[in-house]
Amino acid sequence: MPRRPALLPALDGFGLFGALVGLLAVAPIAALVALAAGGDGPWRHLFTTVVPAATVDTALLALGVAAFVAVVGTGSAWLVATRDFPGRRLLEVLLLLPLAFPAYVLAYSWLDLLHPIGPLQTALRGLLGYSRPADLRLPDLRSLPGAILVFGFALYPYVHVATRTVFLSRAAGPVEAARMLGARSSRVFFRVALPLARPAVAAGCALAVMETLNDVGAAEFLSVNTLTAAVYSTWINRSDLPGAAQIALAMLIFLLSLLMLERIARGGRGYAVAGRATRRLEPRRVGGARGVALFVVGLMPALFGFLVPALHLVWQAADRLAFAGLAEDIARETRDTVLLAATATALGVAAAAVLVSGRRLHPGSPLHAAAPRIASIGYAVPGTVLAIGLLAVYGAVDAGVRALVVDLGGAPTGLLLSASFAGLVIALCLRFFRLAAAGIETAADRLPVTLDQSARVLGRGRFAVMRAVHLPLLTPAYAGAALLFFVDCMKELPATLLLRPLGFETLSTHLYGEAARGTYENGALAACLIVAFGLLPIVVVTRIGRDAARPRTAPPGLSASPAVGRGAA
Amino acid sequence: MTKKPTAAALLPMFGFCAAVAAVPAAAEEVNVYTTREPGLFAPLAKAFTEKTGIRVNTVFVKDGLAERVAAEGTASPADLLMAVDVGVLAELVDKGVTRPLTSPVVERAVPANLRAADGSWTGLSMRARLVWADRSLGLKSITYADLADPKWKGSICIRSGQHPYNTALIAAAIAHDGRAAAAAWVAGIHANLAKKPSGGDRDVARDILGGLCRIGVGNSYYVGLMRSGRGGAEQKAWGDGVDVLLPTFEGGGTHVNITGAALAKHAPHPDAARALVEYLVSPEGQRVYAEQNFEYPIVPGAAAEPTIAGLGPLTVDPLPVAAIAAHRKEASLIVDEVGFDR
Amino acid sequence: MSPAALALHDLHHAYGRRAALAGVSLELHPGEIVALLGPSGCGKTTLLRIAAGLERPAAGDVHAGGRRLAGPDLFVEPEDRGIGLVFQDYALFPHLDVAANVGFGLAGRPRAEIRATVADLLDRIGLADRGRSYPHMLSGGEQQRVALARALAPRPAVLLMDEPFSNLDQRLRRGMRAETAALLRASGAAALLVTHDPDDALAVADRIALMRDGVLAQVGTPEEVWHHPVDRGAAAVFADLEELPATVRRGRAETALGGFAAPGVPDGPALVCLHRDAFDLAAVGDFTATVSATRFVGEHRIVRLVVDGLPRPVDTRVDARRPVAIGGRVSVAIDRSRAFVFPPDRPPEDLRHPAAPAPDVSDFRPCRGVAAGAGDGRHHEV
Repeated sequence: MPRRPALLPALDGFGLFGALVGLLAVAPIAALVALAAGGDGPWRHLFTTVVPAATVDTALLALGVAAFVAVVGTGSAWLVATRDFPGRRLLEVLLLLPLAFPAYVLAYSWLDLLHPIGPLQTALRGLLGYSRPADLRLPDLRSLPGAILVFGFALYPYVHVATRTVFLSRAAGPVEAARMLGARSSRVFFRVALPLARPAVAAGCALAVMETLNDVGAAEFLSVNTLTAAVYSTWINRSDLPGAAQIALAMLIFLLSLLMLERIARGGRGYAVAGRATRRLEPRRVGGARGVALFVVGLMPALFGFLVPALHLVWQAADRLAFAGLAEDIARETRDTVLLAATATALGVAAAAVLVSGRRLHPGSPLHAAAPRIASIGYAVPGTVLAIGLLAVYGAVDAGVRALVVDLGGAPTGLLLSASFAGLVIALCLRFFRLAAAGIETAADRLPVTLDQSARVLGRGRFAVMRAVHLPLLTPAYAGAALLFFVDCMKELPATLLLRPLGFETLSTHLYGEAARGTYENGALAACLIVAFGLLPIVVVTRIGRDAARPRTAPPGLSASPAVGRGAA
Repeated sequence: MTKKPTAAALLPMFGFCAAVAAVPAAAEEVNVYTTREPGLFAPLAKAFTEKTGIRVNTVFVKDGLAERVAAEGTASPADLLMAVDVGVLAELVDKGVTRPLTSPVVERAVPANLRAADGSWTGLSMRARLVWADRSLGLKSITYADLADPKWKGSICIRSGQHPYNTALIAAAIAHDGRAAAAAWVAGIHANLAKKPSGGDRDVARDILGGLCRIGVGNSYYVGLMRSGRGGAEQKAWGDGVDVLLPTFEGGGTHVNITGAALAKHAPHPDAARALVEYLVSPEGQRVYAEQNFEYPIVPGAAAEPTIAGLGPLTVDPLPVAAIAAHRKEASLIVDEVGFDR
Repeated sequence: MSPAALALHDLHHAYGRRAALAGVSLELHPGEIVALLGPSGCGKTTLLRIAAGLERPAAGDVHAGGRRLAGPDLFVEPEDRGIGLVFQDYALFPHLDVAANVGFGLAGRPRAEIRATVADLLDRIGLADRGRSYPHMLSGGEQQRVALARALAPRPAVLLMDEPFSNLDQRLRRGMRAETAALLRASGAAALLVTHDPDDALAVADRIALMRDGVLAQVGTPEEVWHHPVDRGAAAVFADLEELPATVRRGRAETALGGFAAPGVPDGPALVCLHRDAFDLAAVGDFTATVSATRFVGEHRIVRLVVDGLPRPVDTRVDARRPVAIGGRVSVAIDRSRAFVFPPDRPPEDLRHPAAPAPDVSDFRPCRGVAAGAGDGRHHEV
């Protein structure tokens, strides 16, 4: 007889912590709903003029980006997973580099490069013999297709990493079987590898689309009116916070349906590859001219997504340094950025670890199962929207505390959460919780539950199991999650802009301030630093992946087969 | 990796923030919340500190200044709220986060149409919305109404219609000609656009040079920034490569927006704030605005920076800027209805 | 004579510094089933993958049906070899149903032909009504059958199978062996089965190749390998043996249990390996022993005997119905025809050196398959 999961006994430390985090995550959304309910007049106007067009643009952008990253990400992953050509190892790393670039930095760099009086078109005109820019009209990057390209090149690594993992670790069996049955390369890819990788493609595309919708800078720059831009604009230009909250909620629904779509695409029909699929896929050697051609083809995404714009950025920064010298605040801003990111990472990853372990250690408890899900809401909410909600929450908390203290006879307290380092850290933790939780959960799912159970049977309590079993075995997962978390915190912009304390500047806010003024080149050095920090986790993650992929020194088939003969008793 | 309970890690930060917030109001500083990029305000702050010894703490709040201050409530450390657009100033008053700054110095120095009647805010400097044109056109003058003329079809570059600089211009048009006429005018400009509104004012100059359009709209101080070479050789080329014209409203003058300041309702250092504002409208302060930021001084008679002055005499539109603020929401609605940014 | 269906010639391969294949040559004749039998790590899976084209040999040739597939300057990709492979984990395509799996290798043929072939095969493996099911809905045995059908559908001349029955439980195995053998014969393909289980090999193979440490120790029919194992290791593969140290003089090995014929074995120390079944508790026997322990295992009874003159106890099987008293003295007869006499094992390197002096008796490694009886003579249950 199935036991009904009792709620109360599950309220141990894990449960309480999970409830706290869940509440924190939901608070800004609730605040948004309250705000949205408070406004009336403008919304009808908004929903007839702004929202329809913005929704269409957003949907088209999302679809376009999803298609682009799916094709480029999967194609490049297949290339480096199944073909060994000169420079493959280098390409494996290069293809990940666009992760280090925030989308709006990429947008600006390319706009600069491709402007009619920028370096590329000027050179082209020189080559073709045109003197005036007006004589050679090329398509403008500032358009929906242009935006799809920019976001696509910035975000394809999400799909690339996910599908490459699948190809390397789980596709070997079916791929070899298909080859033995006479299937050529393209048939193997389309009929076997791609269907197997479909969940990974779906997950990567969802991440890319969410990043696209979160962005405020690049879309504005490339003159694509997304819903996020509408939210921002409604609030900023019309001071219509309730109206903005309403659009924000519409966005949330849009995103939630997107997430459900992803869940459907990912779930599917029991796609788990049966059996002990421990073989790694061995890439086929391609040498000579064909190998070089493959390298060049594979280099394209990395070229457009990182190498060319990075070089441009470095050149601009160097130019600026030569012209105007080093800005005095850069060192302080870097320190503050690192401090903020490090604190948020420590807390966020710790919270994710606790919630993921909590779910595992309380099977069947709805509270513990729901906690990580609820806490992940922050990721689906664009930074601006989350920050608006949190602003309201913090203000309310501060006011409440102040009233309480005054009632108890004390001096009025100042700002506790509003405009505080703590408030900003909480915002970042909520925003990126899902990043950490997803990575840790994937690794945790690979640990057999029997490990936990044997520890419990041997006398350890739940928290002790987490300490003794999860912590040591999941350390690489924690480290990986921490890296991604750290970099995203460093690049984060809208929430930081809104919630930061007095005089607190991060590299990204500095950069945006310059962009707001149009003096982007002043921010080039800050941009370079952001990108440099963004490179760190890529290098480390690649190193870890490389170690796991070292060529076998033991022959295959070395499984736990019993020895020959009738066997001893 | 050791796990730290969240609460324990937050406590030190709570303590830190409380300590900072509980610092008693010393007379030696003033806290300024500004929507103006710190780099632009810094020279003024520095000069003020040098003169008076009062330290200036600046917080750059790009968006949501009013919300931020309102959320901070009575404990807000803000003394002076500065904005680069009259609409924001009016909004601050609407949200009830300001109180009137009574200063005879300000009332004497700043013309009445450039400050609030009840003293709740005052302008500190002006920026005019100008038209930039392709040199080869040889254009000598233009009115704002001309921009909607079909002869300019496919020729206009401008930034987003929802940007405060543009909604202020449209609001001024509403105040002059009424809503319907202003809507028609905006639709006319929309029909003349060479490309979708995007980028900033400086991009307009670049786009004109790049042959993407023939005329564009931009603010006066950008001209100074570009032509002075302060932005680098490339931007100097942009600034030098376009003609700059001072357009006018029919029967009026050139549209200007103001940067201004308002006193925060719960300011801990109101006297220091007043001193700062009075400094800013003094000849020294106005000179810094003009020379450092290439803006038009608000005090009549103060000299503009030579590059700016060289653009021609500025006839300030006599419309009270408060009226612009009043029509801002309408202007924004018109932009949406016309589908200007699409 | 028609060319061999599959010919592997002097194959070498290594992983890192560890040699996996040290010169292996093997031929499969058309329609023949050969079992490659060896312990894990001996290189048999490597050999299979090289034959399939999933690995490149460091040295050696691979031919199939007279056509060269791999050599020093040539490598034909697996999809062009026309060789079938059944993987140990079956590697069924999880996103395709059973019919689509089976028909996968038939791409390019007319649809009607594919349908007919698939239907026929599904019928033969007894899954005619499961064509629409997906692999994860099938049991282990069913999956194995589908994997086999899939590999056979394109009618390859050569079929390779990697541990085909190791994932099945005991009871299922017997049925599957017979079915698989029948399917293979009906298809007419030459098959190479890799396995570590001697029963698999004996049940299915026309010839058995014993592999150990990267080389083939012996290749022959099941009878040959069973009755004439080439060395102690080969003998130990198929049966539990008891070992007796012996001295050979003029074709006869003398042990504590008497003499055994040892034709062709040089004089000197040697090892006599006796099948467990060579011992019989008879009324009149060659020698006596004390029963130290017994265990009933269903069809027979294992009896541990302490034999006078032998350092360690000996295990033997008797009919279960036969009463045996612990501690009692019994008379034991030995079937001397079921003994193998081997010269002492020498490490392979020694074969290249001049003949070394005869090793000490204590050099002899015990036969595998000896029950882990304690040497202390204590009485305990087996």
